[in-house]
Amino acid sequence: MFSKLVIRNSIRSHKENALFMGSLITSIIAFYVVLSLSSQDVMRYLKTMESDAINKLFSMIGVLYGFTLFIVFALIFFASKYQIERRSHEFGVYIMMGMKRTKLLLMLLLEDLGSSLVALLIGLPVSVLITEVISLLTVKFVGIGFIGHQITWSPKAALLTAAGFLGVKLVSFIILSFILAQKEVGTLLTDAPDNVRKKGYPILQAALLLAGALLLVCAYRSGVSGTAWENIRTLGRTVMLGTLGTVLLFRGLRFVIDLIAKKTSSGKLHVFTFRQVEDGVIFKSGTMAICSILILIASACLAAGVATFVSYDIYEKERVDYTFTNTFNGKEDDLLETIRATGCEDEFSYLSYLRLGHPYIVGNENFDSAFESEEFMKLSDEVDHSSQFHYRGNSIDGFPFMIRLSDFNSLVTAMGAEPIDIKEGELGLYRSIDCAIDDVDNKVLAQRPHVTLVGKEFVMTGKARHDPIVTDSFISLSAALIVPDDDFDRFTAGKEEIYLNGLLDREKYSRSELTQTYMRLNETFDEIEFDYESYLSNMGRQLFYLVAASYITIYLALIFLVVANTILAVQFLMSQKRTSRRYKTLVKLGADHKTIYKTSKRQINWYFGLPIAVAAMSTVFATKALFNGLLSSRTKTHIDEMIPVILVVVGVFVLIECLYMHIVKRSSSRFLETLMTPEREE
Amino acid sequence: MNPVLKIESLKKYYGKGESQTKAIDGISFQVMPGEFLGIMGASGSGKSTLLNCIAAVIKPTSGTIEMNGKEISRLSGKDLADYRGKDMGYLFQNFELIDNLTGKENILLPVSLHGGSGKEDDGRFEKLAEYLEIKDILNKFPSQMSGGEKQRIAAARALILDPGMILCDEPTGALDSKNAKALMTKLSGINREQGSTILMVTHDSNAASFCSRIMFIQDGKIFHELRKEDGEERQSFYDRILKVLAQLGGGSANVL
Repeated sequence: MFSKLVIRNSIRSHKENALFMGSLITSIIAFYVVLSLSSQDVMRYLKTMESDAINKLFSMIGVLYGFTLFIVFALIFFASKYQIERRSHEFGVYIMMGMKRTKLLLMLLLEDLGSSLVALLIGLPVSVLITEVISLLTVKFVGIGFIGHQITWSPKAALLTAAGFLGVKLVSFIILSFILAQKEVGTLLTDAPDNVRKKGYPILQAALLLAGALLLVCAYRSGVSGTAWENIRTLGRTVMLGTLGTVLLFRGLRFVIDLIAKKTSSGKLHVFTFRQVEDGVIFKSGTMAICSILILIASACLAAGVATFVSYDIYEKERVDYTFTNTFNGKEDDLLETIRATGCEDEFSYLSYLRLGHPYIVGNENFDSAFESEEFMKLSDEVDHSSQFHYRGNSIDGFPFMIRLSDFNSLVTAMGAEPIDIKEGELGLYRSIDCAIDDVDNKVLAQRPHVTLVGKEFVMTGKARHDPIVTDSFISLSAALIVPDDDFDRFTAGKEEIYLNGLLDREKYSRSELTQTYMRLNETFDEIEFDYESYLSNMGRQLFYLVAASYITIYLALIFLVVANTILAVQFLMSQKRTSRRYKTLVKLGADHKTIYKTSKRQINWYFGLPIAVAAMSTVFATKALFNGLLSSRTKTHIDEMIPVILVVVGVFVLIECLYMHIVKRSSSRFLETLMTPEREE
Repeated sequence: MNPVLKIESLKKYYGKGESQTKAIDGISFQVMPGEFLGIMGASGSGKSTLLNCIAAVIKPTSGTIEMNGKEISRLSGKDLADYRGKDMGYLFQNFELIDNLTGKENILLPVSLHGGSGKEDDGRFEKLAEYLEIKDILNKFPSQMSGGEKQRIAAARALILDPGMILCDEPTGALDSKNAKALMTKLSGINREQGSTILMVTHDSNAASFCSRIMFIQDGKIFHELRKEDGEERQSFYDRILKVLAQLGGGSANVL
């Protein structure tokens, strides 16, 4: 009899509560995706390339797993709490019929175990399917399809998923049973009493609303202007302002909702609908604010993750495929000759030298005064008001690197970029992409500042350049001067560094063949006695950043989104159940199905809409702040390309929200259906 | 004069065969405009079933219920909802006020459901608020009101759309005697002054003594009927009610 009851209850609760089951399955997917990360194709590939970096990423999985445990706990706890509150009357009846509390808890535990097993049976295959799709899509997107697909199924991950999931369920069960055991039978049998509404103080609410809005504006300003990123304290202050602002804003929202409720409207049950929404704002303003912040974090994570994903094309359009050097131990001719001797020369569409060097002053050992750039620095300081320009590592004073003009132009032309137009008596400015500060540099260069290099007067002109000048890490220049050939040769006095850059024939190899080509050529070049680097190592690092920055942020974004929505959904449904008497009264007063469903739907729209709207507003500023503060200039240069992607992301977001609202509307309709028959109570 | 409510051979049976229960077993009666009819009977006598049938909550097994010439068993959808809201005002034992709406908003709820903006009945609203002495509590929430105040708000809500008939379901059941008397005085005042038709189910003989006619129900059938005579004092009517109730308590063997 007892086991029959357990089985029947389990089956019934699955049928009745899609939200609960959905939350359980989402939790399982969340666990499995993190734990099977190392089996993903892109990870297997990375393991063969940059082991140090990838080990760092894998060590993060533990942290991520712990974090996921915590988040999933919140998800399961809320979903189970709703499940138990929904059935409180039923439990009261069991106890009244003489069932011992221990037996009731045992029954619940068995039911819980049953639903957990069903969730695992559905969730694990779905997780494997999802990770497979992610794995295949990632590989396709980053263009390393050649490595071959391996099934991501990992028994260890599945076991850990099951263990984590069951553990979290058990903990939430223990807490909820404790709460249940404390309740009196009478409380279980009657619906929990509603929160008693007290008279509001409109002036206080308006003040809270205003204070919240002001704090948010301060947080937005601090984020967008960049002051938030100055140090950890300013960042903490901005986050605090934003959080407090959101909480106060929701506390003060009662003022606005009250005004809307009092507004004359021809809509049926207008007042009732908004008084219901107002209840949410009064009694659940904290939860709504937290959910709004979670949605904000989710959307900001998603924006940052997607921006990174889009901007990190592992095959950059402008790239040097190979760089060879024997700067410190050989002669110029040897390099080219050696390459020719390997027979690989035909693989390259471009193979040419790039010369770099410092300006030496013959007979003067004081290198620090070779380049005098007072006017350039003064103008830079004027353009960049925020703080001292040259203290921030942007200085090109003293003893800068020089790049030979014709070498530079031939390389960038081969890569498909415009050459820099420098004439006699002029200098160009080069900064590597990670150090680019175009908004300052280009304004200064437009004013053609006068500088002195090795005693000769020059004018700096053109636009700052960021083209790659070697394949990877042979040399990294924060800033350098592009110098006409004659001056370069004279100033370096034969002490230049020589790099041989090679570009593979782009027409000969498609994207998908590139990596294999690198691997094949590297085997040949490994046997030659000079240093070289291929784009392969560069690609590995790009891929690592791509995975670390985008994969994890997108994952967290989705988890946050699911948790926020589940909490909102559960809160709404629980409060609807608790206030079912109001709906019964409406039915008794002659409200028809349509009217009741309509008011419920409008309430759901508002209940979800308010936190989403506040989050959306904050997201606009938070994303801008993130782009300003965190993302590299490399990402900034891709902002135009990101717009369609961001639109797609917004679409996905809207879709998820609509899906949740639809689920809640369905659950709510099903619940209201049970109230539609007005019955006289004796 | 046409009756407001006309009930013919109303039957409501539950179950089949031997386990069949006859909750209402062939009741017929009429309610004329401006009448204040009380229905009394013990628990299980069938008065709740009768009320549920009139309120179109349950469908009778056979027989007809006509409200202002409309056969209500034929109503469905919007017409049924309109019938519940417009043709009938309902006063409940436990007030059924919505706790997050103010007194005024509760009163105007039927207007919002069946009328329009919730503002258009201002004239009637003002009059009702004045008559029921609830002007001071209109902006309070139910949790801030006493039982009597809640029931007067509920009464205003039942009357706001000027329905053809007011159904009162044990309206004094949750009130103390002082508040019960105050409410009944107001209800009978409305009945007298505005000519509102009222049908009230009650256990309370005191409350019943405000009616102009009382029907006693037992085992699903009309057992007896009392009519207040012209100029009869409430006390005397009350005594007569008590006598019938004593007979009812004695069982159907003691026919009056």
